[in-house]
Amino acid sequence: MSKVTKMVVVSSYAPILSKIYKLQFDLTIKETCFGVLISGEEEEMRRATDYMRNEFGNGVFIKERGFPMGDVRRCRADRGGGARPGFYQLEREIKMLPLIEDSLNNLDEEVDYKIHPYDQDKKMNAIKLQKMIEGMYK
Amino acid sequence: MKVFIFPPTSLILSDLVERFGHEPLVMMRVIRDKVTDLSLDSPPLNVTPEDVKAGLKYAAVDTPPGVRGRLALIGPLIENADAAIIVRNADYSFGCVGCARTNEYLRYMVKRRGIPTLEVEYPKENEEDAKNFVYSIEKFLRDLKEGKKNGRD
Amino acid sequence: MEEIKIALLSCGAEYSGIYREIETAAKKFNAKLIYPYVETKNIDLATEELGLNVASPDLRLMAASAKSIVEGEVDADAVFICTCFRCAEGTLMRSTVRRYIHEHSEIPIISYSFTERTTAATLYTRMEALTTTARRKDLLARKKQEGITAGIDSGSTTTKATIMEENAVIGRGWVPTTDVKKSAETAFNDALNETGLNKGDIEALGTTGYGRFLIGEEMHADLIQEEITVNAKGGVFLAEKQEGPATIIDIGGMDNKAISVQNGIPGGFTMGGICAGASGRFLEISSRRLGISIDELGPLALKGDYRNVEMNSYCIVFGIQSLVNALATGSVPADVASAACHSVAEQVFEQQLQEIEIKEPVIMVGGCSLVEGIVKTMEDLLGVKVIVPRDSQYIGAVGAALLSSGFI
Repeated sequence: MSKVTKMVVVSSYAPILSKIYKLQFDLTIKETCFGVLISGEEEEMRRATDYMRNEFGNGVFIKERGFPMGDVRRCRADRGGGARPGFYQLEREIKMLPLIEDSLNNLDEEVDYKIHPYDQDKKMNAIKLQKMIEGMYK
Repeated sequence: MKVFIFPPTSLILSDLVERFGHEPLVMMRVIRDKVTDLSLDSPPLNVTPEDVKAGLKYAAVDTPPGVRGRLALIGPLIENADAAIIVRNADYSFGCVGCARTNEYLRYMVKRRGIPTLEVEYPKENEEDAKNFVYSIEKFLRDLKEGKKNGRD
Repeated sequence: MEEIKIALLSCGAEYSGIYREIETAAKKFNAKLIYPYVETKNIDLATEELGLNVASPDLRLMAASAKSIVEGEVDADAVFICTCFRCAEGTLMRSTVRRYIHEHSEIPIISYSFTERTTAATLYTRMEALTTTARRKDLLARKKQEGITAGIDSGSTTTKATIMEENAVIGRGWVPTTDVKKSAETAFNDALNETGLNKGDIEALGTTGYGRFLIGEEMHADLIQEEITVNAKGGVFLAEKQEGPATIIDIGGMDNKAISVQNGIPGGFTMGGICAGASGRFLEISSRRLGISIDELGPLALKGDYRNVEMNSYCIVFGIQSLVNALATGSVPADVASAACHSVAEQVFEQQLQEIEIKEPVIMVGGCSLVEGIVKTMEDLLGVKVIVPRDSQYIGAVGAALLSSGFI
């Protein structure tokens, strides 16, 4: 089995670190500003991520990470201050997490919701625009 | 099912695909294989000139090397995918998805494969957008599981 | 040699298989590649400030990195900007970023477009010049030659030597490069003979050009320096334009350089070396085909009109073929000479001079500056008067002699 690293991001405060420590997973764990990085053998990692999904539900988001933990190639200090390229998107996605969490909660509660297709034409109808302009001069 | 996501580094997409019972095909896995390779020829990502040449499978030699190198990494993910979810307004994607020309071509490659595809947009800062985003993805992935025809299938 | 920090602004070096080549070239000159710190919110702001709104996120990040450098948020001594060869968006942003940094700071810059075949060796001269400019400001500050010094420029086609005393060139040597060491020895002796001095009288020696390391070590040179730094200094010294901006264009036997200079210090530069069609070699072969010496080509070209000859290529094979065809179909030699000069000058203009800021005075040096047809075409293409200083063909040797006087 090979070693994998995962990034666990919390949308709001969750005591991930203490819980994982308590359950004594055979993993390397590092706390970060957005949650934790965990690293270990695939099977143990699966047990840990299943546990976190059960325990923290829609409040945690998990993705794999390519580089091992603390790899100098992605370390800011070694790069002269600049972030690794993936940081900006991660930062942007983290800002969306509270809204995504709420939506997932709604989904669990089976709140009825009508999906709007993304392909719909967002341009304003020309006749509607004409009426608006005419209305301005009445 | 194996689902290609774009951006292939997305935390949210990767999480949602896994959460709803599918396997996300992600860049992080490709990079992991590259950077933990014992023979690290071309740090930091170990993308070698040979990889760039392998990109000729997807684009001709007069395509810039940065495009071919990226295609060589991401192209196989699309080839192995059963379905795809694409975020259209991923403006803050850098590095492996930092080149607009490559990204346009990746979307084309997905279309050409004719696999079920969902195109969505990152929610702006409102609940409605977020709900639409999550519910669209959940429905798409549920339909995939139930074998319903989707997207361009 | 103190370590210097080079900010790498690139949209895809890591994905093009050449990152290690850049890193290797930097390490050779004890430089470390760094990435500027950029705040997410500044990415769009910077793109807006630079004014070029491109689609690729990595190019937008490049704009933001440039802004960080200009605003002093990054501890960088020099900047290396590179984008993929054949990418329009990348090329436009590369020159926009280069111009922006150049106009808002004094930090030295080089820009480069790479393919997956770019090797560290191709980058050595560029990296050496960039690190020298960043590291040795004191050396570059020298404006006056002192004592008795010599400079040897071991070029790919010819080897030049000069002896200088009291801020003037007093001896010159010019021989074709065959055996690098022997050619250097001959050129040096020729220069000494002109002065009546002996080797022992020379207080300091500087070497430059392709063979600089070999002859520098052999002759125990005080200074071994690449051609960008040396020619920038030599160019403004000979033209007496040491203050303010200047542009040096050097078309040599096998390659060409364009250097943007401020107060005698190179700010940005570009080097060609892939295509012999943009070098003196093209003119040599053209002269041979015309049955004249290279000295006669320039004056002959001034009498002709390049527009009367159809040139299909800049290539040294196919371009020469066009000239031969033109002669065979009745074109007059003057027009063919003019077409040959136009071909070389235009290629340098198209492929090198777009990469730097052209600021007057424009100074032409190197062997090709003696070919009047080249100078005239360059004036027409740039729309400015071009200065060709005395001893312009000895540029490297003069620069080396000038700079080496700092070691007396």
